[in-house]
Amino acid sequence: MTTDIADTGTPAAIRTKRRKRLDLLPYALIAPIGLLLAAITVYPTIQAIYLSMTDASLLRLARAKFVGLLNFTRMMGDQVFLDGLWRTLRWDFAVVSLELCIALPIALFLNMNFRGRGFVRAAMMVPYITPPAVVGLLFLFMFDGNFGVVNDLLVRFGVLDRGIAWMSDPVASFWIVVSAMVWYGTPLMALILLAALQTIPAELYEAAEVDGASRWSQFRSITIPHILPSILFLVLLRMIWMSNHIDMIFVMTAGGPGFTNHTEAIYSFSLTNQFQIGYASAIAVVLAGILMVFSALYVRHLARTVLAQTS
Amino acid sequence: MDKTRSRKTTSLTRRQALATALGGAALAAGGLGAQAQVASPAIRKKVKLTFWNWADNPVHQKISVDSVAMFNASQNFIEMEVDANMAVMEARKKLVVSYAAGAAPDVVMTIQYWVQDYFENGLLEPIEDRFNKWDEKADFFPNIMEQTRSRAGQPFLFVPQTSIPYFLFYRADWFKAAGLTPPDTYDQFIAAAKALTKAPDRYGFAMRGQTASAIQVIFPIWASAGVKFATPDGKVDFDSPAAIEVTDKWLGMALRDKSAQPTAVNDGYRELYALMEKGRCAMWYYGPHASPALISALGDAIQGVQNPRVGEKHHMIANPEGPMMVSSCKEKEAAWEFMKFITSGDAAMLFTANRMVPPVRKTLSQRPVFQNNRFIKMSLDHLDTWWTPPYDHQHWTNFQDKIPPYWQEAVRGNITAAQFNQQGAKFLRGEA
Repeated sequence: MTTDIADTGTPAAIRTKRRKRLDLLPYALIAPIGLLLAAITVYPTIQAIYLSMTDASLLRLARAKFVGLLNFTRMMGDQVFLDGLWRTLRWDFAVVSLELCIALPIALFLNMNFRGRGFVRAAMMVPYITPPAVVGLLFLFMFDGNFGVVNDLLVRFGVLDRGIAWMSDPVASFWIVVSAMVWYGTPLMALILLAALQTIPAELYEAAEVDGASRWSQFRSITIPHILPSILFLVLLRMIWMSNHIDMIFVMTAGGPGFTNHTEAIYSFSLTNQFQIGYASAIAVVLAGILMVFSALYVRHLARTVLAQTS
Repeated sequence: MDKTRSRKTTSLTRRQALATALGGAALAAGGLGAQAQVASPAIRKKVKLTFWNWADNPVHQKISVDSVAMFNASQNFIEMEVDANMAVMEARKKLVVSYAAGAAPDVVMTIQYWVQDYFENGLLEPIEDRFNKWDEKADFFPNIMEQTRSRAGQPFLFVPQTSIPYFLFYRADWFKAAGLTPPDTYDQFIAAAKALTKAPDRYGFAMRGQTASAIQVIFPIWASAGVKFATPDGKVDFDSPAAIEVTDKWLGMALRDKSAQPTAVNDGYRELYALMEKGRCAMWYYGPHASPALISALGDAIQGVQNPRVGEKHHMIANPEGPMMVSSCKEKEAAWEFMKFITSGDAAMLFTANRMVPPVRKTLSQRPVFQNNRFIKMSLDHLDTWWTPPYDHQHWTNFQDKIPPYWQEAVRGNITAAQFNQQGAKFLRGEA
């Protein structure tokens, strides 16, 4: 017994105990997902960073040369890239702010009690379940300068003398693509906001009613503070998605007319189509970097202010 | 081949009977009434290969599927698998990515302007030696075969199946009403476009603004003005006064004369086709594959004429298309058997007559289905003017891939003709 007690105090015994305490089961359980993540996220990220420092072309991948930061310095003199930063920001803000402005009233409406609410909630998701490329084509056909229904109606009602070449105009084409994206993306935002609205206890509104608070006061003092974290989180997510968005813009404009709808994602995609994956990866890496920094700052601010207040 | 065919017809196997039935059904649909040919594989072991082709539309996709079924049914050793579920511009990307990943197909359909890059980067297996041993080699148009070299001194890089010429569709009824004759020169073309415009209901010319194909139709006019684009010694003349003048006149249709439709900047094939079919434009550059639908919509009112010229000689851009062998193919003899099959006889007819594009074999081009199509006949009658730009130039792909947005900027008047040509010249010189 004495020996046992003495033995447990030796460093070797402690190590043995520690080894015994090391439970491998949790590691084994998370290993598959860890490996999967490494395969589909970590490895491609590392590969993209590596490619961004090469002159790789898909046509001669085996002969790719390491060029250091050359692609990144090239970007600083590339007007399409530099203008693309502003175009990406413009696209993000236009889509996300419009979606939010439309989704919030929809969510508030769907949170009310009315006959057929279930049907309306389900029907609202129709745009979101339509493939984005199809949505893009539908809008393209509607705004076709020669045979589109929009021109036809505007001419019939005497608003215009003749049809407008909507998609040939840089400003009009931008807002048409934004409209298509907003039409497609708003239901998801409304659905998430609706879920957030449903977490607000009904007693809060009942107490406010008793206190004589107006509808607007209830909205300002109860609804908004409760759903603000969801709104801010949605804005962050949507900004990231929109910064990376390609299909709708490409289907409708191919980034044109000219370079007017060349966001960074579209530019990187076009370069990939030209097989310049070294430079395309560099742009993707910079875009990812900007988004990561922006997200980190945003989340930090969110945690310090909004979340702290609401908790 | 003839010997094989006659021997086999005496004792048809079930596969051969199926091939004949399938081919016959497909060709009957195209009004050809011919029979399927039977391949005679040089190899005697079972192999499985893959073939990729793009699909312009469901009919085109069916052609690929049917031709592979015909081949598979025609013999017992080679089994082809087909993937014809990609758009034309995806085909090149998909091949390059799959090759880089070590999973390329064995045979792919290609277009002339892709092959130099493929060859220089080792993707493509030249077919000269095999072609020269083929007893049907003399049936191919010699000038088209020369084009498949891509560059003088290189071997044949692929087997052409068709070459699609681009010419000027015009509304004969409107020309007649206006007392005009079809344009022969570039200036006549510009003047006719202006004369036939009655905006906003009718425009003289259906101008294209989107994608690389937008300027492809101007290549022959630049060429007829003596522009060489780029010569093997590295000289680039795309920014020469002659080249800029052609561009300026072309852009003038959209910016000055307003004889091109206002939507030109963003219009592609789909929009231009609709404009022609609905009688909104008088002229359009395109290939004979648009002719069946245009004839159906407009009858004799739609006619074709070769591209207007600036200098003495007409140029008609015609890009050969056909199957090429991928260098990573492990069963090259089997792949060659398939390539021969789909560029011969009834399989070749599927790819040409059913798409209404001209064949590049002498015997096939004489068939009534081609001779009776006035657009194909006109194209074949001017075979000596068929031409391609210097696709083999080291910076041509750079030029072709990067120029489209600048063309849109030029059509909307954001840059001048001179600025456009100077930018193009930079791409051709590899300076941008």
